[in-house]
Amino acid sequence: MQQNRIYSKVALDMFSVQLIWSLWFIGFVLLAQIVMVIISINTGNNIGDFILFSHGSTKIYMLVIGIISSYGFLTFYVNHGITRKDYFIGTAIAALGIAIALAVIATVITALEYGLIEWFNIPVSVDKTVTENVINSSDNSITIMLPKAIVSSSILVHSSSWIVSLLMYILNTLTYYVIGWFIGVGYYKYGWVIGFGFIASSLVFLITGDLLWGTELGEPLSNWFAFQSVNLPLWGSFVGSIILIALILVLIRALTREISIKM
Amino acid sequence: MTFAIDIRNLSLNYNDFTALKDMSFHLEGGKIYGLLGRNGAGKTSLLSLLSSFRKPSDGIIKIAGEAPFENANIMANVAFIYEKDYSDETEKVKGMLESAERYRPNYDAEYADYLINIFKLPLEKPVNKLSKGMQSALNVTLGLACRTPVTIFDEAYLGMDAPTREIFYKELLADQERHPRTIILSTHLVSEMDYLFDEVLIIDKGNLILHEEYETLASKGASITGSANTVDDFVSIMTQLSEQQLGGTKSVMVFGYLTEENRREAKQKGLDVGPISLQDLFIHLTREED
Repeated sequence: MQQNRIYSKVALDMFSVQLIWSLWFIGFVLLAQIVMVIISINTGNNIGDFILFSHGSTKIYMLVIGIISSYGFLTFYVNHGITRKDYFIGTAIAALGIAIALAVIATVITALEYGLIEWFNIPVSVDKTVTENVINSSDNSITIMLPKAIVSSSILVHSSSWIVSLLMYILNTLTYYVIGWFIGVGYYKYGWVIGFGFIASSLVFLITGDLLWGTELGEPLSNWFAFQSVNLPLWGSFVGSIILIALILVLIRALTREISIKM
Repeated sequence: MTFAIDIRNLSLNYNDFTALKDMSFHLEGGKIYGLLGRNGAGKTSLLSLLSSFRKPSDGIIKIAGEAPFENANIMANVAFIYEKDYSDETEKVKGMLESAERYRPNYDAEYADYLINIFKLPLEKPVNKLSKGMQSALNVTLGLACRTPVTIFDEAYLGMDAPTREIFYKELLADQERHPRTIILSTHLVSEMDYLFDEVLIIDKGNLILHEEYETLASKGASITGSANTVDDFVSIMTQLSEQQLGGTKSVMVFGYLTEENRREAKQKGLDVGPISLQDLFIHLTREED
């Protein structure tokens, strides 16, 4: 019984701290999106809607806070008399919570975006089906690769498919969080030399994660592969993502089970 | 409720370095223990095992009869206070107190406020903006206010100035009186803290070389004071730890038990026999052999 209370405390605390960071982050992305809309009004280019636009940066953001979750919190919690197990369960729940919160916020902003554009008749074409899965800035200096599912399915007016976008957003960002957490734990436990090995294995996870969603592989390393993308049915992508996340979580737990705490 | 600590054949290795060798001892609950040892003797290694920061390489630790590692009931009741690197800690003093309150079952917020007051800590200031001394004062505030049945202070008072340390010692004794717990103080500042200890443990190169009640320890040696020649004559057959001379008066610390006869003889010769200082004993016991 007491066990229950402790990890839910950890989860709630981790969630609140990271939610505050996330609101700041979303604020900045929203600002960037507004700038893009303004540019687009002037140049007539298509832009991706918010859920599409924020997807790439949110993944990187989740990777970063995942890394912080080991360095920032493991010592802190054990020093407060929390077991490694409660830290692990609490952090994992909080990560899922953050992924859900970000996805919901992004979806709500996107809905508002469509609503506002229609309401004020803003002369901009926000697109859910940007061609070739790529968002380009007007001078091609920024290119964002987009996974196919989100591109072909983020039509918010059709409820069945915005739920798909939402779920995919959650799974994708959560994958990045646990990969960040995995890297952070590797560095925490083994120092920077072996830590590089964790970055290397994380690349494998990242590529696997992207492949699951049918993204064209952008990383130069993936030229080694005989294939550029795999085609999975949608449910296969979901199940694959969940298995990948579970696998990384199992590895993190194995690494932290008896980890020595840095002082 | 006090927690006893039982250590059996405890060892800790870091790769091929042995930090602790086959250590065994029993600490009764509710006492203050002084843990002395030179730099690198293994004090922090031992304390990090007690606080479940690491797992022992070998041997058994029992706190209140249970193995503490990953044991939520024990870990929540063991506090390990050490000098942390707070250079990246942007949390405010208030926030630090709040998280301690959230996770420590016996935390006493009123007592924490009282300590914050006497240490003059600013509640709204980020911890990394505090002076070293204030950071130490915050650490000991947390350590005392958590009222954990096992409370470990590992050199947690290093940054504090002498008057602040004095306040800490006073509060420690006063609160121990009200809420007895098992307190371990590891320290270099032997001479100013010795009166706090109920028992003393000295470790050297990973071995426990002494575990004794402080009172008994004081009778393990003596200080002989008197006129220089008489003192020299009297201590010539004894193990001498240190000496001090002022004009014709000399004081020598000797190691070893003084018999009744010794004491009578000293009295006849007009010599003063006083207790030995723990500091001298510590230095003697942990001296490097040449």
